[in-house]
Amino acid sequence: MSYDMTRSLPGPDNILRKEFPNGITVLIHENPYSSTAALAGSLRVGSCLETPGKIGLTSFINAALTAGTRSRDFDQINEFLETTGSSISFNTNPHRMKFNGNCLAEDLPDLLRLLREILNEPEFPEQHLEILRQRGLAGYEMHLHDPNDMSDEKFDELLWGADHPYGRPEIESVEAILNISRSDLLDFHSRWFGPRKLILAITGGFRGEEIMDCCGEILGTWNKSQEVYDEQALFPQVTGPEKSIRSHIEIPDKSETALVIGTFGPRREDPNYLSAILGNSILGEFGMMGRIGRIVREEHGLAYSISSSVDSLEAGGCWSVEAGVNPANVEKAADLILRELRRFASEKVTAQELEDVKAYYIGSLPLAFESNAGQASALLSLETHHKKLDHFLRIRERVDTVTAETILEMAQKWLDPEKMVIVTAGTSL
Amino acid sequence: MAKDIYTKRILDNGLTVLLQEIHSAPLISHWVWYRVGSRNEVPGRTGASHWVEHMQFKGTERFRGEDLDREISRNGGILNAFTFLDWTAFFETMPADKIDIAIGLEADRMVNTRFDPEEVESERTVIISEREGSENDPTFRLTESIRKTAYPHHPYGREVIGETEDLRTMTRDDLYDHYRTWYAPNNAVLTMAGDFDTSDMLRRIEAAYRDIPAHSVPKVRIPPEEPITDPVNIEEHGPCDITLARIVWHAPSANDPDFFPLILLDSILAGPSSLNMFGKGGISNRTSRLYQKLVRTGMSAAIGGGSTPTIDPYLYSLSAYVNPGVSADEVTDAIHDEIESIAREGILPAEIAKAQKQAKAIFAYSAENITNQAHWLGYSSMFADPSWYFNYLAGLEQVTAEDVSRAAEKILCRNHAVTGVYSSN
Repeated sequence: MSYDMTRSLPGPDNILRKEFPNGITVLIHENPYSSTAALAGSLRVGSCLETPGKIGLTSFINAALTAGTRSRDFDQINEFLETTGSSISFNTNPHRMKFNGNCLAEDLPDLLRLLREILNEPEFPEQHLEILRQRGLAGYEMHLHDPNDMSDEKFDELLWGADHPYGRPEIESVEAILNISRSDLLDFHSRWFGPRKLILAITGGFRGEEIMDCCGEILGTWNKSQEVYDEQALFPQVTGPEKSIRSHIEIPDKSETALVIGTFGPRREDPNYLSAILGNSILGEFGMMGRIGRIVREEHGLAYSISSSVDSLEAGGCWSVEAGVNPANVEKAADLILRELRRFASEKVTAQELEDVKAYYIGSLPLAFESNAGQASALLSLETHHKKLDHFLRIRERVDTVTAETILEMAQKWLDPEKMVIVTAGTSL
Repeated sequence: MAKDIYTKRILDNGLTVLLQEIHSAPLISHWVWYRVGSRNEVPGRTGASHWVEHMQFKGTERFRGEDLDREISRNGGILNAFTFLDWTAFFETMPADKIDIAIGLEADRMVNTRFDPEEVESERTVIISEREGSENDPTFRLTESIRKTAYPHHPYGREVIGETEDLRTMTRDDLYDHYRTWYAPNNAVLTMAGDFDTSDMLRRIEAAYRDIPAHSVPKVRIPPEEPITDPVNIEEHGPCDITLARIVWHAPSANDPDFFPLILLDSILAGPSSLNMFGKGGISNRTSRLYQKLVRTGMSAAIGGGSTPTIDPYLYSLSAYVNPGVSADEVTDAIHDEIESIAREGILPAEIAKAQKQAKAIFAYSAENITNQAHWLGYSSMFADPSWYFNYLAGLEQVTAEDVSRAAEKILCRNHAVTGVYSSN
């Protein structure tokens, strides 16, 4: 007898959701088996708001938020976090600043208080900004010598254009790291941070109603003005290349070359997004990295790491294949990948392939919900993409709408093997 | 306490079975651990354990390579494998009602893996590619040199993935011989955690494994490495314009009474480390002594430390990214000064209490995940037994400030260190 795995997933019966008058939405899910808590959240403050000369500002803010607030200095914040075994961290994509936290359940109210302080009244003390600059410089130098990082960065730039928020590097240059000042951070915070459209998801071993009350008391009372911006204007429409573009970044002393081949993909809200996800699984993910892994790794032994992915954000997406190969094998690997892309964009996937990935997609969902962090992340995604609370429970219905025809249609719309962006990074032979 | 949490049985063929029921989700994580890793390898065949691990995914007559991954994935499972110094482990985490597929697969490939010559050749280049990917890290060669210097004779001095020359020359028969020598039920531990009934599961496991005969497995007797008695310095250079200083010392094995004091000393010096494979909940190290001494003062951009539970003594390491305008010697001197200050002046009770609370939190984070629970049952069995894991927090709570000071003096002595520095050409 087969067990319906989706029955164990969070749904309307066990997710608490509340919108507070200041614009914050909180989702809570109890995990009675756990003694810890995890939170995941986001503010509508993305790297799209960075301006020329200050590219990398949001990365700097992410690292500096826990360096001090008006109420607590660096030592007090970090003494609290490290003495309780708690953590909180921030990262930014072009659309949102996301945050994640972990703590023992008993420390959750204190972590929420700290979160409010950090979001409302960061001080960005100069002494700690200098420490972060030094760390940023070391990290940037490592980044310049990392073939995977550099090929990804160049791929994004060639695909989207250097001025598009999706095409910009995370850090622009050494000068940018040195030029970002405390007043830049304070100005950015003053203009853009605030409770409007803030989403917070929490899971763990606590009583949900109590934590919702706690959120109302701590975060529901946060009021701060914040500027509104026209997001559409910041994400211009981009047309793809007329023919394939190829670029190489020379990095000395590398044994392996990073190879990226790809193009645009569907937005997260595209009605056929799920066809792309399941189709990509067949192409370069399922089992030992799908069709591409089977050909390039298993049959030809050309790469240890190889896979394809669809990365979909709100204003667009990209569909790419990435591999690490010996410099002598780059052309052969690229040819094999392009051959598989041509096949994928011209023939329907088999009934067996489709059945396999559908079963994997549904069957493996509970694994994503194993930990509190996984659950919190899933709830955050639910709210971010305006899904209903029964979204996970109804996954089977949506998966059933994907057919070999919808996958082929999706592949033909997005994957033209003659119009690819192809980037390599490493040491030439 | 531990006996109430898990069940242990040894089957007639010597297979040790450890089962822990957890009913929080309809999932089961199933692991098979073999007592073979790079520790069991000899020069000329370095990397054999890791290569055999790869060959285990090429399939048997019953589960052909492609079908093996497919069967697990299409039934909603994940699978992977790891090779380390002392062990090789394979796992599947699956919906509870599908776990018989994983049991059947692991029992089958314990003895029936095909070592097709063409597939061995194809995998040779995949593994060399894996090593080349690691070599892309500017500090890889520094790490490799430090290990070889600290352990010139013991196999712990070699990279688990093996020497490139050996990866080019090892034959199919070398690998098959390695497989037939070490893959036996009496050299394995099967661990499982998740949503099952123990009595029923034991019957299913026994049915899958009872026909696999035990065979003699070599006893490994490796002479202990000579202690480091004089400080050793190594330099590596490359095009990346950073300076990284790394100091290592011979560290106590997992069963040594000094292991737990070293865990707390590491936490006090460089922040908590996770001993498991699935993270530490993101706890930072900004209040640690070396962050305060090196990063706060502008000498280093970042610091970190860590040790690993192993059968034989292995390494404790501290690493620091050195800021421009500061010499690596200044940074390594400052690290030794701090350690000597702990040895001489001791530590505060609050420092021990913080390190213990951090360990408790990391332990709780790792317990959320049944894959991690099954992992710990087997992992601890590779160098001790599961009681090591279940008594981990109690062991840390018994450590005194004097134990930590003594560990600093005895283990992290300036004259017993190998120091490596990577800098630009």
